[in-house]
Amino acid sequence: MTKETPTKNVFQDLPPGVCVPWEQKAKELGEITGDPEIIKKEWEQLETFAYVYIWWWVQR
Amino acid sequence: MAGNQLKLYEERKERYIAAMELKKPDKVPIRLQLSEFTAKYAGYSYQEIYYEKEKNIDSVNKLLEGFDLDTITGAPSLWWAGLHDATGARYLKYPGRELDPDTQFQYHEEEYMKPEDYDVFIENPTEWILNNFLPRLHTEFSTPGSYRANVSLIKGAFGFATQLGRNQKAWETWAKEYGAVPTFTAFSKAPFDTLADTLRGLTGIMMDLYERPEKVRAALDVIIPHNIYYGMATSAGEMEFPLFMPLHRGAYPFLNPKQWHEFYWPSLKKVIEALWENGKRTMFYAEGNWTPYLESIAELPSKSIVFHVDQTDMAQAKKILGGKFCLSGNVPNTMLSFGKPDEVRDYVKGLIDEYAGDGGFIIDAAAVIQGDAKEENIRALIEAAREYGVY
Repeated sequence: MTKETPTKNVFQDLPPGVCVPWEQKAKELGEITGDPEIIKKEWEQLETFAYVYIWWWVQR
Repeated sequence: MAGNQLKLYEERKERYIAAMELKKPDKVPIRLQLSEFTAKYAGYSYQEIYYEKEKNIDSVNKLLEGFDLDTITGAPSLWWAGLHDATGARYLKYPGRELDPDTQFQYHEEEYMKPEDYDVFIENPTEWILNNFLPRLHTEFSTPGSYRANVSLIKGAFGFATQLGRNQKAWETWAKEYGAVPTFTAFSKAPFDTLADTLRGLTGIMMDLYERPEKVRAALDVIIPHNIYYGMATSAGEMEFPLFMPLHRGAYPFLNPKQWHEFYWPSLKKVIEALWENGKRTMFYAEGNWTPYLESIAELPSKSIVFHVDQTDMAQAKKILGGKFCLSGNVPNTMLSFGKPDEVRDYVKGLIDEYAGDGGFIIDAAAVIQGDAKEENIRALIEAAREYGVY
């Protein structure tokens, strides 16, 4: 069963390209019934987009 | 892609890449950073190209129909004004909103990052940008979690994705229908510029160099991997064309040489070296005068940059960097705006005679070409480059 999403960031030292680490999200998702790599890959694609969008405001 | 346009695309690409590889192509490549000039030539107002994506893109179609350019930089408006209205950008003023409809946009610099923000920024810059910087920078984000802030985040992200998608489609059209080759396919910055341009601003960073130099150093160390990542992410796997890096505060004499060597250069060098290790060349767009720093720039790996000459001494650049990096430049923008075609022709001939003989040279203006450049001078530049630039 999916746990509640924390409203506050609980991780530090986010590496480039990461807004919410997959490792954290995987813990929150709990048991994954299928192939976790598929879910991870899709999660990380949107992570990259969000990261580039956030930094786009600064990189001008 | 029609046969003729495919052939043209391949010829131009080969010419451009050969120069960057320090070879002698068939001709000296012509790479002009035609920005607002494109809108003027196409007959659109600045308000139209900043606000209307299709007119922004169509202005390039018209440019490509009228000029023989080996590479182009894309549509003249970098930042879609509608997206910035949706987020309430405090720092950009646009024609047709606050400014006269045919005036160039203005950037309103402030210390959007405060001195007391350094520690939180250093600890987690991505989170700090989203939670602190963006609300400060935008009226619509100013109360995070509010209805207006949530709506503007949706609009901002959707607008960003829409613009990326539309530009990608435009590039396909420019390549297929006009044989147009991109000047660059990615973007990043010197870490010092990331900190000094939009975050601390010029006044703020200058004070920081004296009052909190250790914080500046720590922030630069944190920014380095982000700028490497940002460059590779915006490359999206494309490795033939360079990454665009407009270099701002490193020009002499924004910083004195001691400050440049201590604060500007080490972090920039690391970014460029890492990009090159990943297969991405940097277009070192050295705005202003970089003559005092040429010996340091020569430490970079061979061919890892294209060194663009604006007000740097071209003869010194050739002497110190020639044979190691491709050089580009530097028809003065004042000449393109206020000079005569014969002056432009003579200048281009002089550049080719003096600096292009052994290859590794690209003809360009000194800086980004704005709407005040005269069409006859742009034509003179291109004609002279084609006449004298044959190997």
